[in-house]
This record gives sequence, structure tokens and C-alpha cells, in this order.
Amino acid sequence: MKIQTNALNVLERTSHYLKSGLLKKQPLWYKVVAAYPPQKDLTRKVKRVNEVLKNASELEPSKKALYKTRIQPNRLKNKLYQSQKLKFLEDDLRKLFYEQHPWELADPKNLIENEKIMHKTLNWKTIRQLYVPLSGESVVQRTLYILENENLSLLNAYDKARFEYYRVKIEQESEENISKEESAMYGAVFDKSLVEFGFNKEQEIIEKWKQDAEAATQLLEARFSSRTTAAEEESGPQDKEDVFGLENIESFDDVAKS
Amino acid sequence: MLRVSVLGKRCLMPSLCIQKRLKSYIPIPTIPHIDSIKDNGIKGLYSEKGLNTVWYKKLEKNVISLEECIEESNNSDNLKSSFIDKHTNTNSSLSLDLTEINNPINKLYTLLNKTAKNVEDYAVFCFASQIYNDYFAISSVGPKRFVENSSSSSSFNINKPDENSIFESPSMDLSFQNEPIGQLETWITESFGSIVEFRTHLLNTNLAIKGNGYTWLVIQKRHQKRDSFPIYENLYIVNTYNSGTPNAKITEGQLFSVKHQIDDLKEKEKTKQDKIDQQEERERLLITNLPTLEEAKEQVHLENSFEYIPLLAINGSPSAYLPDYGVFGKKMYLNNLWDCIDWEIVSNRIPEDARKTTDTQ
Repeated sequence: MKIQTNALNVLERTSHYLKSGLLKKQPLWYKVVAAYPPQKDLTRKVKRVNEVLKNASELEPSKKALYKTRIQPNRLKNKLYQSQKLKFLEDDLRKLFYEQHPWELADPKNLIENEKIMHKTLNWKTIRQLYVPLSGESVVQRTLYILENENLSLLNAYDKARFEYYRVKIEQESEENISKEESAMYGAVFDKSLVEFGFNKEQEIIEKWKQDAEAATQLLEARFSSRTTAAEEESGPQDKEDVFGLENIESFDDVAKS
Repeated sequence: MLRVSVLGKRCLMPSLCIQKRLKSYIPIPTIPHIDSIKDNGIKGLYSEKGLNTVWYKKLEKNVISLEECIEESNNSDNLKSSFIDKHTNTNSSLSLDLTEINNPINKLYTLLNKTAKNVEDYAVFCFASQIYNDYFAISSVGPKRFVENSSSSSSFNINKPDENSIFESPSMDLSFQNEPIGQLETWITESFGSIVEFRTHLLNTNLAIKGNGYTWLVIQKRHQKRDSFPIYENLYIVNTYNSGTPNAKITEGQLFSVKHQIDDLKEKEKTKQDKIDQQEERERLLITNLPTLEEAKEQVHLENSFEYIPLLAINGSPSAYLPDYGVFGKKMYLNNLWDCIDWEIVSNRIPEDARKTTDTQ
């Protein structure tokens, strides 16, 4: 099908038709398209050679093909109708922090927590907050606060917030460990941790898989051996192959445990 | 059950007993350098009133309770004997050398040794251990020696912070005025990396205690073989809760012996009930006397054991900071406490043979 030249003003045209009486009934899509108008202009335009070349140079070399020899129309981005890219300092800080401390991402986090953080009523005068648990986000917000209120450069403000974070983190971690020890001394018994629980669940499946796999391989081996014995009768004995690497399967548990 | 009944009595007793003057056979441990400044409190750490509640009043109560527990105990004569020995000059213990035999605190130590593995004397152990721990904590500190330029010298920063102090940003200081000296410093840097790391670890470990408890700096002593020279290894930070004691030598094999005592009691009751199947009973006993894996491990551990010699104690119980610092003041209490630790006393507690071994290194 030929590309519709007037795709973008389909709504406009239809409303004209309705007014003029060409169409008597509103099409079903009419209101939907009115609410969500098409974003992309699919109109094909005549391009000058230079422009095409310029666009071609912008394209990244693909990993599959060695050279780009032609430009596909869907690769050409028309930025007219695209929303503007938003840039915030927070994003850079957040990215930097988690790049430097990847393991801080391992702390489980509730996504609702961020909504509270965005709340402007929070006062980041201190890195500790009543409703917001300590995370990389605290560093970001605290850095911004320091930047605004104390006469420090961005890097120094970030460093200050970071070191404050370290101190509080140390305090929290030792508190976790000690309170566990303390309550154990008073007779508390701890259940399995979430990680252990998950690990055991996984192990159950693996055990079952191992059994099934063994049964299946026995079956296959039996078939294979019946075939080979038939062949041996014709052409003498041959070395048996370990088709599925069954010799290694014993160590599977060890791998899973490690 | 025994423990509950004995301790239940204690709750009623002290209020009645404080009025009567203490004429105890238990020598009251004295700390000369604290006693001399008793009327002013410990500058920078406790006010006069605070010191009185934290140390003197508590000590008095504990001594009274201890005495009563000893009286009620079945083998009270044996327990009393640990105090009666060499009772001549208790007041002359001017130095803080704990190896001195006549120091009252050493008598408490022998009492702890006697009672630690006996279930029946649990209450005695508790009170003796509390006195011992408190003594250690208070005797490790002294009045603050330096005055910070910024704060006024009179107040010494003892006040009760409000709830906002929970959210205060941590201070970024990396150097502290009161730092360990001499050999102790090198030991600490070897064991913990640096003084800052040590301080953070020590104070945070104490801060995390929610109930009653103490944080100890201990030195590990290991005997490789019998009669060989002991080896002194790293320093460690250890927490004890309630009336626990850091001296592992005392408490080692505690579980084992307690379990045996309970088993014995049960067996006695059973033999009373039926004497008919004695042969079977004996066989059964033989089987139960075999130690379990854990007991056997503990037994092995006993033989080539470590000993932990305490150098410093920090009292993290609410009773230690509530009088002067209030509910939210534990952090301030700990920061002040660091400034008041008398590192000379602490380093004097390192055993002499340990000092020699490090000198040769």
C-alpha cells in the first residue's frame, strides 16, 4: 500500500466530511484518534542528496551489517513530534553514585519510597529522614541541599553527602548485626532468610530435574546401546561415549551450593 | 524456676535494705582516682548526681543483693571463702593493677569462677558479674583532660538532647584529641586498621545495644601447648549482654556442665520413682552419658582454649546514660566517653608478658 500522505490530518479531513455531509456517521475510531492524535509524520518528502548523506553519517554502524548502504525510512527520526528530553542534575548524581557503589543496588527498595522523596516538604538538612530509608537517593537529595545552602562546589557537596552516607551506613549495619546477636543471646530463634528460602526452593526443582534427567538419559542410553550392540554384532566393539556428560552431573549439587 | 524465685525476691529487697548500713564481708571495690573526684563528678562524662546513680548507688544495691544470694545458696560457705581469704588490707589497693590478689575485684573474679558453671548459683553469678563489669567500665574512664576551644569549659557538653538529635548528620571528624598512646596504639592499628576505624567500630558496637550490655576491648591469649609461653594475638571488640562476662575461660563449658546438672537432677527423680528396672536404667544412663557432637566440640575447644583478657569496658545499658543524657543521649554519651577514656589505665591492663612479646617483635 502506498504511504498515506495525509495520515496526520485524517481527523481534520474526517470532520470536514462530517460537516459537509459526505459522511453521515462518526467512524468508531474518531473519538479515540481525537484523544490520541498520531505522533509521527509518515509523509515521505523529497530529500536532497546532501541531506540523505548527512543522515547516513549519523547512523551508527550496525553490528550485524558491515556497511550501511541505504537508509530505511523507519530509521529516519522525525523529531518534530517527539517530546523533549528532560535533563536533571539528580539523574547524573544518581548514576554516578550507583556506578561507584554498585552493591548499594542490592539493598531491597520499595518504589513508593521515591514518591516521598520527591515531596518537597522533606528537609534534607540532615541525611537521615524519618520516613525515607537511607539509600543512594539520600545522597542525591542531600548533595542538592548542600549545593544550595552551603557554599561548596558540586564535587565537594557530593563528597560530603557521600561520607555522611558512609557513616550512617556503618552505624546501621553494625546495628543490624548487633541486634541480631543480642536477640539471639536472649533466646530468639531466626527462621530461614529469604535468600535461603529461595535457594531451597530452587534446589528442590534442581533435584527433580536431576532425577528426570537421569531417567531420560538412562532411556536414551538403553536405546543407544541397543543400537550399538546391533552395530557391534556387525562391526565389533566400540568405545562408548558419554553423550550427555552424565559423569559431571554428580557435581551439580556442588555447583548449585557454591 | 529457681532463678525466677530468687530474683523475684530481689525486687522487694533493696529498698528495705539500703537504709541499713552496709557491714558486709564482701569488700566493696574502690576506684581511687574516681573516689577522689566523687563530689564533682567525672568532668566531661558524668555529673555528680549521674556518677552517684551510675556507680555508687548501683554498687550498693548489687552488693546487698549479692550478699543475700550467697546466704541463700546451698554452698554459701564455699562462696564466702573466696572473700575471706587474705582480707587484711583491702583499702590499700591504690593501683589499678588487677593482678594484685588483695584487690576486691579479684575476689569477685574468683567468685565468678566458682559460680559460672553452677545453675543453682546463677543469681550469685549475675550480681557478682554486674559489679565486676561496672567496676571495669567506671575504672576505665577519668575526667576529660583537654578543653575544646569552641565550647565553654564549664558545661563540658553534658545535657539531655531532644528527639531531633536522632536525625543529626554524623560528624566528619577524622582526628580525635583523646587517642590511645604508645604500644596500645600500634596494637590497635594492627588489629583494626586505624584509630578512626577502631573508634567507629567500638562506639557503633556499643550504640547498637538495645538492652543492658557492655562493649569490651579484649586481648586474645592462646596457649599452644601446656607449659609453653602464651601467645598474645589480636585485639577484639566483644559485646556481652545482661550480666555476661567476657572472660571466656570462666564461661567455657558452661552449656556442657549445665546440661549435665539438669540431666543428673532428672535422673535422681526418676530413680526415686522406679527402682525396679535398675539394670535397664543403668544401660540407658550409659547411652545418655555419651556426649553429643556439640558437647564434644565444646570439650575439645576447652582443651586448646583461648583466653580473653579485658582491657576496656563501655557500659551501653540505658542505666548508664539515662541520668545525665536522657532518652536520646546515647550518642552524645558515647562521644563524651571516648574523650574521657584513660588510655594509660587501659594499656596498663595489658599483661606484662604480652608487652615483652611485642617488644621482641
